[in-house]
Amino acid sequence: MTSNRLFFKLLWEEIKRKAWAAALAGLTLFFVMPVAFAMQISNINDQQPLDKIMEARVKMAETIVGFGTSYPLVMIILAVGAVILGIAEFSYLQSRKQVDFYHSLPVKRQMWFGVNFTSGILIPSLVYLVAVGASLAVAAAGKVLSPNLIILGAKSWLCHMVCYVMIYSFTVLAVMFTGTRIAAVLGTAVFSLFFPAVGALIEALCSQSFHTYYSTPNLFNTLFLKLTPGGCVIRAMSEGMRAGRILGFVLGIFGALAVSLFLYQKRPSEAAGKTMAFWLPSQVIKIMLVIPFGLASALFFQAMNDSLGWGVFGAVAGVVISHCIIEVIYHSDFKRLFCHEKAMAACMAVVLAVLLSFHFDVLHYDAYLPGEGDIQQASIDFDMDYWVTYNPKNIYESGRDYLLENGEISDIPALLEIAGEGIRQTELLEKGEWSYDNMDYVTVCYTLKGGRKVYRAYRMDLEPVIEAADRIYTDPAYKAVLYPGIALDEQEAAKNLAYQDNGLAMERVPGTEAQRIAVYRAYQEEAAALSLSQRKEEAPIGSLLLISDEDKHILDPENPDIPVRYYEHYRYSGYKYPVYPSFTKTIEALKACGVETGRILTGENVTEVKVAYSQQIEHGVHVDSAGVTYSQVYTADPVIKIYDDPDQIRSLMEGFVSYETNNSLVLQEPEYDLTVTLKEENGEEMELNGTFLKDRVPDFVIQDFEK
Amino acid sequence: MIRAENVTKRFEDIVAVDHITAEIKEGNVFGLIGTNGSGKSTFLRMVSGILKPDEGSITIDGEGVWENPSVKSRFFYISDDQYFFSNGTPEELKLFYACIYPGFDQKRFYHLLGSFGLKKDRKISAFSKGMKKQLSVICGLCAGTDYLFCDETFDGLDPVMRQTVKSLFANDMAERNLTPIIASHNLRELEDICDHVGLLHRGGILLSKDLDEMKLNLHKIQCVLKPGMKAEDLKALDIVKTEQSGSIYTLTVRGEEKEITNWMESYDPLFFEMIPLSLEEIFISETEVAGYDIKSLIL
Repeated sequence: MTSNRLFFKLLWEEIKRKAWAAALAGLTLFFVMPVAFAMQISNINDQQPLDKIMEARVKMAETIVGFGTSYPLVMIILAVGAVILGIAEFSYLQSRKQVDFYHSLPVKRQMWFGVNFTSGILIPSLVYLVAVGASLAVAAAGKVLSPNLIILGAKSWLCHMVCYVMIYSFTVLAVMFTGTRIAAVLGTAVFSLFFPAVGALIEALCSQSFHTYYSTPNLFNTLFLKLTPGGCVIRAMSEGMRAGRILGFVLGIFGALAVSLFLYQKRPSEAAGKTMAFWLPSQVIKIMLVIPFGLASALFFQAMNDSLGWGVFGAVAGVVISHCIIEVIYHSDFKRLFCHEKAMAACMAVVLAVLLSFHFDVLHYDAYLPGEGDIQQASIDFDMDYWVTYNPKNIYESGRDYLLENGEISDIPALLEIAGEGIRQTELLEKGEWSYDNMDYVTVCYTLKGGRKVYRAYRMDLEPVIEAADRIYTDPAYKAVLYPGIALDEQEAAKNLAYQDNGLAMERVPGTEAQRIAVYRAYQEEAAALSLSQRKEEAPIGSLLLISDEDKHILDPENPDIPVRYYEHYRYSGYKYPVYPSFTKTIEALKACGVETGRILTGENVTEVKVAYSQQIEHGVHVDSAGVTYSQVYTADPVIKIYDDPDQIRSLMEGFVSYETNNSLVLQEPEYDLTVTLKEENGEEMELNGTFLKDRVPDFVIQDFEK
Repeated sequence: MIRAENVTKRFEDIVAVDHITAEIKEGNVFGLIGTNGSGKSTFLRMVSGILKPDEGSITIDGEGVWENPSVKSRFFYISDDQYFFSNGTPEELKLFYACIYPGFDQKRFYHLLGSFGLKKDRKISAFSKGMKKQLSVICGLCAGTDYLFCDETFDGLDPVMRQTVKSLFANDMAERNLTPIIASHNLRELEDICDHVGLLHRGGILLSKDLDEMKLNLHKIQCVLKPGMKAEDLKALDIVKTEQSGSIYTLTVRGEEKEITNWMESYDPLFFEMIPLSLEEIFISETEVAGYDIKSLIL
């Protein structure tokens, strides 16, 4: 009998024996795909117009048969199936009886491997194909079957199966290393989570030990998404399966397959029933698990008790416990708890060395400052403009990474001056000589010659280096990245231009296109020149909506020409750029368009102002567990006064700063809380909360509360 | 011919098979005798290509067994604890073996199933231990291979079944030159079937001899000598062992039967007769010569 004939005969026999897997997968996919689709079709409101109904059906069909995050249930079922089948197909290697049976037969080991590996792919692929076919049949019954839907179904089938084979291949690889089913499951978990877990551990170590640590990109996420089969599948589902990604998957699959086949051929039959099939990898894996576990335990105890001594205790306990557990698992014998004690001692030494080197910052992580000549480019984030939206697809995404990636600065000496001051203040923090008052969060990124990126984050007071900070902050190129709104096409910006006075509704800026462009140009100039020092002194009086057509459509694709009132929605808050009282050119240009600014400051629409004064009656100094001092304010119950006299209101509003202002730098009076009641043109009332600018509390208010 | 040369197998610190050299000729029934843990199963598993020897080689007609399907198609291995597909039936097992062993005799399979009273569509998991052994033997015989390796196969069989299987083996040996290799710790079970026996102890082979050769050269005589005569007086005889019960001597004597008979007649005893030696007795004698107390080795 030729090898091919024997292969297919054995494959058929194997598939017959795995009928349970086909039944299970078929049943699950049946309910998740065609049945779910049919149910959704029947739930459509048939009172709608026919074209809406058909549109909804088409969308449902594309979701059910498609590949992506809109309907992840199919991939979840296939992923679980990949793990189950990966273990089941090669579980015979874990039983001496079965190994004797199969390996005594006149069939080469490669063929057994090929038969079982193929069977584990063929069964779900056929079952899933039938499920896709059934879903397309439901689409046909719903009169929405089209060539595009069929092509989509075929492409999605391929994408899902590539992902399935990826997870399946790595599960088989885990089985090759192990000798029992439980070990195979644990091995699969190790493949999936080991590197991300180590990444998270490193991040935790760095966060706990280094004051200036900045995590980007997040190691756990990066390693999980790039180095684990599950993570790669998640990325493929969220970002799409492009040709390059498919190639990467195929390479990963073939890599796992090649190693699995090699291990299969090398695997001794006597490994059946032992936890690990190979001695050397078992020792390597043990060390790979014991060291991180010891470090994790050290971190846990150190964090609970904030003491290096407890950290050392945690390290020792973690190493001993994990080592003993693994030895018991390996030997299935509780009495072998303490064997290989030299290896345990070596792991303990490594864990303690790592722990202590992090704790004492042996490599001077916090004091790192590159020479100017070593820097290719650099960027900085002052954490003052966190309200800006840089990614309309995810308005909650932190802008810091975007700025550090794109906000290249030209004044490197200024940045080094700031970083140097940050290091100095960090050293004081380490000695417990600093306090948390007036702390800013400054993050720097150095791209060194050679391409390596180094990040540091400083909790520091910028005041000693405010000039250097201002030099960077007022750099037009830096500001254009910081405020993307001032780098738009001016005609587009002018077309979408709207203005919102504090406390009032946003309105389109009227006037001609030329007038609106003039507003935009004025704002570009004045925003570019805005410094941090300036921001400390004044609060915005309103905001300009600066948004491109593309971002507007992404934020609200249902209504491309949305009325201006929708711009008040929270999604647009990242596009509302502050207008300061010192932006005189902008204010004038707005006036030319017929827009009045700073109306609330005149007290025009204000009917009353409620002032709550909470006197600071005790100023305590506290030392936290890290030895850092910070002040603690104990305040009395607030005393409230309401002002409704127009003159008094006018005086109050001259020093008013809203809490909604996009300027966290402005100096304020923390003991006062103001609630301003405004009456809109339509008669509706609204409230605005805020406080006073520093040293701008009217005398009569001070006197009133002194009484 | 199966030839094992200097074969050694270690499991961590334990030497399961220690430099074994043995030849198994075609057409003979080879009995592999040994206590539990003597290395019988390990040796058979190496011959079957399941385990790879750490040292030495195993060949069948000059070709290595390891990962050699053409050689492995010449034998069928029945394990001491044979695996059957979960929820499988004899019919499904037959289909599986038929696609691996091209010479699988499906007609004979059904015939033997019927003879043994086994149902082809009944789940094997519902069979008794003995029935499973019977099924294994049926599959082995129907595979049509030149060699049949049986690891403690007779253990689960009742005496009637044992005889049936032995006669089937004998039949196949006569018809198609089947060579069974049977591992067991029970000498009595192999007595009337083995042509050649090998004794394993602690991984090593103590002896490997033809049974006929051993029987040819070793005899048991029960006799009553003339008054005044003792066994020591029978100087012409090569006495291996002497037992006395009253006036009756039981002598184990090495040599040819005719020669021993002539010598006994020359001593003119009151009574003597040659009685057959059991395999156990032959072994005991041979191994005592080798310096081992066989009783402590074998049940």
